[in-house]
Amino acid sequence: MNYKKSILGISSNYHDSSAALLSDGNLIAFCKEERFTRIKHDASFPEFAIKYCLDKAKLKPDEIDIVVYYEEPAVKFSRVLISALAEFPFHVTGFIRAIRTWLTDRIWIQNEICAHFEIHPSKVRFIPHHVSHAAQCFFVSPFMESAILTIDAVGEWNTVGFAYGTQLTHKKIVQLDCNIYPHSLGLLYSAFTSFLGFEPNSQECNTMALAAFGKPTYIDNIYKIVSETNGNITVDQSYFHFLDEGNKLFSKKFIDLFGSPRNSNEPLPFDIYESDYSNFSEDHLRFADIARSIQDVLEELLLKSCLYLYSLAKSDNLCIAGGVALNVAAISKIHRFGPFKNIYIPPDPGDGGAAIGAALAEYYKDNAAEPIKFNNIQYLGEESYDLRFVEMLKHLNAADVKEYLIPGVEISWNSIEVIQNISEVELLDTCVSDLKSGRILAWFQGRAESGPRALGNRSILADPGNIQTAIRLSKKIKLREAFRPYAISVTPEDLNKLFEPSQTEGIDYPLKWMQITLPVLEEFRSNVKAAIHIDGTVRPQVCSLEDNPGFYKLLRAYGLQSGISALLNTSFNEKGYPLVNTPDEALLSFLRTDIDTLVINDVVIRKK
Amino acid sequence: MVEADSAWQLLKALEFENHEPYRAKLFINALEEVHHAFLFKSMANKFTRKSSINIAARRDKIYISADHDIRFKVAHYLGEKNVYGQFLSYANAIKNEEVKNLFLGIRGDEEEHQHMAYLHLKEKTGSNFRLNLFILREYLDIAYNDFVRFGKSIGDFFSGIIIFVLYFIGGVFFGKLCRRIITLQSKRKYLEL
Repeated sequence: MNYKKSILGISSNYHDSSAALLSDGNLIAFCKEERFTRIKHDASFPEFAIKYCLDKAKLKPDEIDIVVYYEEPAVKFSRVLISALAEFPFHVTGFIRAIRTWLTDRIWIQNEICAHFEIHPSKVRFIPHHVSHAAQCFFVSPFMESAILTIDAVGEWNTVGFAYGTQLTHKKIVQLDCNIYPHSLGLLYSAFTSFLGFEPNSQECNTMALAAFGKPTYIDNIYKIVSETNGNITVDQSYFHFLDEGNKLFSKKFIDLFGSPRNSNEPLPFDIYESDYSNFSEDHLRFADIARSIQDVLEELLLKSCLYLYSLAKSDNLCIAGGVALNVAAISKIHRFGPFKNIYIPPDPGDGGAAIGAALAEYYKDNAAEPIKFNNIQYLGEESYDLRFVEMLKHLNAADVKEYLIPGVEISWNSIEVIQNISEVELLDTCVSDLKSGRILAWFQGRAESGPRALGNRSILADPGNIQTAIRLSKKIKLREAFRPYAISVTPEDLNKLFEPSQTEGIDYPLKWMQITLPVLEEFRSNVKAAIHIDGTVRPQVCSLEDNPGFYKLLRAYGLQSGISALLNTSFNEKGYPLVNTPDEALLSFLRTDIDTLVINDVVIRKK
Repeated sequence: MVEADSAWQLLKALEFENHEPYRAKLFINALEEVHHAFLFKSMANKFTRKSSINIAARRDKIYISADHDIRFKVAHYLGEKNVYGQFLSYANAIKNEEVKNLFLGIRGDEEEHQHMAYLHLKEKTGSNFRLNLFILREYLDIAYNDFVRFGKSIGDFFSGIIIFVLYFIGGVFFGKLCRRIITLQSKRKYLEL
């Protein structure tokens, strides 16, 4: 295909590698490498994601005009070097590990890109990490001007960026202030995540979910470590080992202050469907209290940062990006108590989505560039119409499969029913009837979601009013911690049945993409009780006809029978794996787990 | 990790396989490998304090295109054959009955996979001579990769010593300067992008 100018954005080497393609101002494709390699948060060079982007635009590698990398590796390497030497002699192992990784891999990213695309080095550009984040949220937001908060673990040097963006005359982003490594809210939260026995850079959502069960009794202790003045956050480094990527991020001094860390294998007994946890051990309650305390501190410091940004940018709009933007509880506090009227967060605000930001930042370097065009930015992933699995099913022996189910799954099925060539009405009727009878339904349609949340194209769905179904979903499909709540999907028409209308103003986009939590109104609580967290909140996705016609129709059809167009919605994957990407992967998960019905495009597969 | 990787490779291979009965066999094979990975992960979690075991490995070698068809099938066969032998060695060496039985149980599946892969490969290559040629080529590849891996571990050891020395030299002479640079960095605030 002929394009005048194609820009490919790349993010890689840390976590969530990805690629995004922008051709003649059209955002054509974006996908994370993990979807193809099945390695969650895959950090390797995104060769499959790149291939997908090129195939989507029918381009050859050498037809790409510019390749943009989402950060400046040389600057980042200098930061690693300087901070390790500054802490001399306490970082010998971290230094050896970091230097080896950098010299053998990360620093050569330009060569790797040139070799992959067979292009001249002058065609490879580098965009500062927090500029990529700022561009990824502001340039696709509906705002003409906005304050921009970028916040994550660390970019090159920046850990928090306070910026202002305008599209009034020409596109421009100005950084007004920043926080510098090692003073990082993202790393602070990750260190507590690691202390609580979860995987840093991956399971921060567990810390957030656990927080709802605790009391903020450790806030004073945390404020011995971290302080804030006029947007400047200071973290006492004697409590941390931030240089030791992927390892224990906290020091002995930290343990002296908070007690012994949790062993990751030790189960946490907290359950969103059980309100009595008075008999739990002191240690369990301590972990919940620590989670609550760090969550409260994060929210308070983010609010202060927002107030500071507001004083600098003087805008009513706020765009947020960076990994910390995935903390839905903190985003809710910014919405409720912050100074901004409108909030926008991109579907993938983390480093994965920064590939889009890098491409956009490069595109808008040309002041005369037209506004970019995109359609449903939340669904830019792979579309699969490969229906060969239907034929393959005929050759599968059910007895062969049964042996390989997740232990504890107690279904009895002798054959699989495959329903094809049915009308849309019949398909919806089958799905609604299955959902109403307590069956768990996997819904695989169209292009995959861009971000980490399942928004109705790679989703597992269930009746949100049925707690027993949700428990089965947790125990036999997701193998998920009982303290983590599920999200719901709801139509715009029924949104105000569940939530106070005043609470949903100014957050149209966070509501579309499950980026905020809201307290549920009393009247309809029982309809969604399986998705309500212990603090009375739920994380909704508001899905309109324009967003996703097929899923919207399913929600509406379900609403006609249940009284409210809402379904429990969780990502279609098994524990430890990313969202399923192809029909074969969907089928494998369906057969292996306790999912009762699988819908792939217009094919329904049911376990009898 | 090896089992999870096998499952992934097999799912990828499904994209390029059009023979439906064999697709079904590969699919079941993938299903079993996922299950093995799950069992190994559960067992590893039981015996370790290490936080969350990643069940997916970084791949050194990826067969993803249709023109790699025969090479994939050879690698599949040899992979199953190697794993079959390795699991037997592990089972003999391990004293813990639970782990031993897990290896022995899974080894049974691997034997079936090996047989299936061999028959299909023989059918695809057409003659024993061609089959052996492909196998020899794959063995040479494996040997080369092992050599590279060995060289890397030797290199890592010596580079570790050099970096260790450099850290001490750098720290003594530049530690103070680096602390000063960090302070100066925190004053660099305004930036037009």
